[in-house]
Amino acid sequence: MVDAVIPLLRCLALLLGLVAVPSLVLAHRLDEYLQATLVAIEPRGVRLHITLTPGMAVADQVLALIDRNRDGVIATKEAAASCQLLKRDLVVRLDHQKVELKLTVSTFPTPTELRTGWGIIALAFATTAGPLTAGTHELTFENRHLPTVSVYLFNAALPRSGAVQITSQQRNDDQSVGAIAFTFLLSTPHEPASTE
Amino acid sequence: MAVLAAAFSPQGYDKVRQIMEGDEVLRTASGEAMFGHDEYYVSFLGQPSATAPWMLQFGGHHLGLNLTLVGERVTLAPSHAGAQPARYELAGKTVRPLGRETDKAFALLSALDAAQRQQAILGFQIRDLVLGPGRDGAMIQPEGIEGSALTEQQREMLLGLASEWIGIMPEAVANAKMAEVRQHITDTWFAWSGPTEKGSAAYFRIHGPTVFIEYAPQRLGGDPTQHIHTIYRDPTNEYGVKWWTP
Repeated sequence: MVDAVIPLLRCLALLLGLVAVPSLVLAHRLDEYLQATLVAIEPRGVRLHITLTPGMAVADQVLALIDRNRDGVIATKEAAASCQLLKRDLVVRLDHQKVELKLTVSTFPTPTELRTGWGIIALAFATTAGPLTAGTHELTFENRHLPTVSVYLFNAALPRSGAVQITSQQRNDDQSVGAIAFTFLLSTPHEPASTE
Repeated sequence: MAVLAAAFSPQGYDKVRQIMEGDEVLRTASGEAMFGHDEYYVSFLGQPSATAPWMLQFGGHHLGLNLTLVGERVTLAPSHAGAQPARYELAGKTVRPLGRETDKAFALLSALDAAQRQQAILGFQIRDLVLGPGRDGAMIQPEGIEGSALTEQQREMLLGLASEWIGIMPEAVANAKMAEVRQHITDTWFAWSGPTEKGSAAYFRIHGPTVFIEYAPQRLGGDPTQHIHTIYRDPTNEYGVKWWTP
């Protein structure tokens, strides 16, 4: 009986995930471009999870950088090119050394959805710094992308590994610049593997 | 509306109605057809059941309530409540759909001493919800002042503030959830960003092991005290996942 129910629950989980989330989006953005960065620090490395939400009034300005041929479709190459534009405007340093970013995830809503103020572009970047070494570290971040229309958020994700301890977070007033100090303790044999 | 009256507490039902009335005020003032009473929707996900998981969803502009039910267990996480205008006149009375939330937050801030305020107040702007749409499953590092650094009276004020969201659920469910939040109160953080004068536009956050609440005034198109977004999450039980995940 339990075995029969489990697939149903999985289906429901998927259904809830797909249908419930949009109800949270019903307060639409208007005249700002929200760029929110969540920094996941795990033993295997550091990832940036960035969501970009253009408000209705600035959507065309943002879309002009994405849908370059203005055909109303965000082609794969256009999406990739816009990610490069953003990446060019991000500066990430780990322990004062600049690290490169590698795009690992990108999802783009349609231009029509982006113009509603409800559409969210979701990106993830891995840093090329590689696995962490034991000790104290500092990650600094700067986002210079479209500053005249943007609102920024910068936060450390709660580490999934007990081996990573966030010790402080600093931001400038508008959160376009931030720093996260953290400690990485050598993991024990019982340390769960990161799923990132 | 009878379904909503049955599904939520009287306090929660009133809040829903006031948010919807506010949206009608916004429709009238803006002339935009996308706002107003008629643009709210109810959905049932799964088959309503006394034992199996299902969900009641109700929402529209500035409202996204997700009530997941598994037998007698119920969670509201994640849900969004907002208000625009956050203060309006109706039948000769001033209505503030999120007024108690606002007032209790300022009261708690006022109850902190200088050293506590220094911990609680973050030195940068927070212009929107950190864990709003698109952040399901994510959680951030806590910031601000921890419950262990608050007095008993201040902890009660923090619980009272959290109850404004938790109390949307039916009384028995809300009481059980409040007991759970109380159990972790010393590990629950309170953070503030923005001006501290009562009635000004300031962001605040409650962040505990089983509760995450944000209140974020919006600068979009006018007076930020008149346009509020909030979100309620449970880091351990979004969509009731701990009750039905194998």
